[in-house]
Formats: sequence, C-alpha cells, structure tokens
Amino acid sequence: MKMVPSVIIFASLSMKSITFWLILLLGTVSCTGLPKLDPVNLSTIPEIHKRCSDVFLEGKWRFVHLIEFTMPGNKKSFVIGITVISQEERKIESVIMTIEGFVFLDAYYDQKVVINRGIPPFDSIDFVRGMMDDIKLMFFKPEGSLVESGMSGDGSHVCRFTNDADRVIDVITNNGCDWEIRQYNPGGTLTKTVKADHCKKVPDSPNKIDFPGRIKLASHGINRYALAFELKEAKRLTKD
Amino acid sequence: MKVKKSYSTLSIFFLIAASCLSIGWADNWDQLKNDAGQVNTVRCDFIQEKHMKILANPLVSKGVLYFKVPGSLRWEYMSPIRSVLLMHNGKTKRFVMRKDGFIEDSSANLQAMGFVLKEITMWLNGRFDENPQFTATLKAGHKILLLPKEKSFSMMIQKIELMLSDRPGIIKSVKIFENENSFTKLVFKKSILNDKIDDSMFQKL
Repeated sequence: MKMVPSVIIFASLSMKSITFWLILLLGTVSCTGLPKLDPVNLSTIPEIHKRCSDVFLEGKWRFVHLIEFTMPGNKKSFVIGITVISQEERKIESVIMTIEGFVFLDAYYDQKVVINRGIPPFDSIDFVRGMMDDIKLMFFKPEGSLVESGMSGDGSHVCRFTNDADRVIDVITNNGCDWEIRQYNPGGTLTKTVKADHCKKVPDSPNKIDFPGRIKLASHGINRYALAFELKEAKRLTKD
Repeated sequence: MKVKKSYSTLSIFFLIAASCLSIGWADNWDQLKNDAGQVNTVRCDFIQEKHMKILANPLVSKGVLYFKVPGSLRWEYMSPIRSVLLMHNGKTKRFVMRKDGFIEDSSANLQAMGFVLKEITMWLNGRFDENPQFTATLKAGHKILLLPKEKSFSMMIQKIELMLSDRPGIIKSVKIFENENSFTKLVFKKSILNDKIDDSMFQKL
C-alpha cells in the first residue's frame, strides 16, 4: 500500500476531510504493522506446529517448474527452472533455461552463492543471491526462533518466526497444501509473500499434506515482481 | 557487447534446430550449398533431450518444426510444456499454453530472435563455413563440427555436432554442448521436404 504525501493533502483540505484522511492514514500505517495473532487453546499448539512443519519437505528434492514472470503491464515471461534443495543441509542447486533448453543460469548455494554459468542478465551475483533468497523462503524452514503461534483473522493457523536480523516470517497453513508464507521487515512491513495451492500427489513424499502444484511468489515495495511456479516434476533424491 | 554475444549464442541455438531442414548431405561445402538450394519448405517432428548434471535422466520434449525459405520458422513444442515459437518477416514471437489458452511471452531474449533471421538464411543455405563465429569442419560419417572461434563464446557454446541424414536435405540430429555437464540433443524425424506450407503457419497459432 502506498503512503500519500500528507503535507500536500493537509494544505488543501477542510477539517472534515482532514479527519477522514487522518483515519485513512492511521489505517494505512496499521496495515504495515505485523498482524496480531489470535490466541489458541494450548492443546492445539502442537498440531499447529506440525502443520507448519509439514509445509517444508524433508530430505533432498529435485523440482522442475515452468516459471511465469509477470512484468509491468501484465506482460509475461516464461522460463524453466530446475531446483535441487537439501532441507537439512540448506543447500540449493538451480538451473534456469529457456523452454528451448538454452541454459541462462547454473548456480548453487552452500553458505554462499556460486555461479557456474551465467548469461546476462542472469550473471549478476546480486540477482542470483536474491533468487536464492526467494528459493530459501519458498522451500526452507525459516531460520531463527519460533516465537508465537496462533490463528489469523480468517481462522488459518500461523507460526511466527523471527531471525537474528529481526525479520519476521509467518507460516500460515490452511487445508491440505494450501499454505502461505509472509515475510516482514524489522519495521513490520510486508516484503514478500509465497502462496501455494493446486495440490498434487507426489510419489515418495513423506509429508502428510499433498504437494503444491503451483507456488506464487510476490515481492512487495519498491522492487516489485511476481513469479508463479507451476510444478512439472518433483522427485525425492537420495543423499548423494 | 556481452549481451549481444549472448543473444548471438541463443540465436545459434535456435538456428541449429531449424537446420534440420534444408541442409543436403554432401562431401564438400559447395555441394552442401547446392543441395540446400533445392529445399523450399520442411516439416519434421523432433525429440529434444536436455542432459545436465543436475538431472539423473534427461528432460525430454517433443514437438514439430516447420520451415519455409527465406526465413520463416514455426517451432512448436507439444510436451511437456506446450509452446510455439514463430519467426516470420523479421518478427519473432513465443506463445506458451496456460490455463486460459496461449499467452504471448514478452521475454527480452525474444528481441534477439530478429538477429537470428539474418543468420538463419545462411544456415539453411548450407553455408556453415561462412558463420564468422564458428569454425566449421566436415567430418567423416556425415558429421559437421562447429567450434567457436572466440574463447568468450566457447564459455557459452563449447561445440556443436550436426549429423546429416543419408537423404540430402535433412539433418538427422544436432548436439549442442554448453559445457561438459550440459548438452542438448535434437533428433529430427519424419521430415517432409518441399510440401506446401501456408505463410499463416508462421504468423498465427
């Protein structure tokens, strides 16, 4: 939500209008704060934690996604993404290529980002770091502490994590594989959302929930972008 | 310059696929050019295998290609991702099938496809040895080997191997090596030469 320059507005408004705008402004500010969680019965907390935990796959997995990138003007761009994640080791391998098979990016993350092959614009280390951060947000259990559990206004279960940088991540679970992850900055402003749905059965999955056939990632704020990941293949891998 | 080179690399990737098409089998470059000159249109099925270290088994895609001189191309994937790449009159478009039908792809890399068309004629005329970015060698067994002249280029494409069919005018397969861990193999089948293909095939879905 964009903030309105208040000085300009106040200069030209009547008292009645000012009251209206003040209310609106307060509403805007409150929207950027962390949403409050409704308390739940203590006995349900283990179930909430389990549901949140089920969002994140255990072990090593390889995914093939068709990735849809939405640009301004609702223009679309498509690439194929191949991602290997190791949950316990927090390692990522990633390949981005055209539908025709031309590889733009071959990189991995293991404590740091290494680019094996990068064709512009995928050769930028900052770009690849950002991409790896997005993959971590989508697939890895949040780092840091689980500080709160409860329910959101719509009845979804929420697990709230904070990390050393005071960044907050809410893992919100509904039914099946419909889940959402929200990332807030230390000021409580929503910076990224990940929404999963379109449940699919995946062989070898140890998870009680089905597997999301579609994951939508959105970055908010100045650097806005939206990505939709359509699952084409998921395979559990052995350790090596 | 770097961007241009990457476009160029991408372009060549597309061109090779298109070259199933009009290259006649021959023993020397002049004869290749002569044979290629006899081909006006091509339709063929293809199977594409993407081999990479990250994959235990190759990613397999299937589709169909249409080509018409001087430089119209329809490169259509049927599976696993339905998409169509159209090149006609210097314009290139890609469409990807989504829930509500085909959606046009606005990728920046498609702008480079215009650049492709200039080169495609050269390939489709059998002028392998005239591409300034590659050194072309005719090998035994109906094989053409293309090696990048510049080291910076070889970082993107290590080499390309084209296997010519016994039947003049047709390429059997192409292997594009990006590096030792990654290559794309295209196998062309059921080629039909010089059949009538309407221009609309290259203009709309």
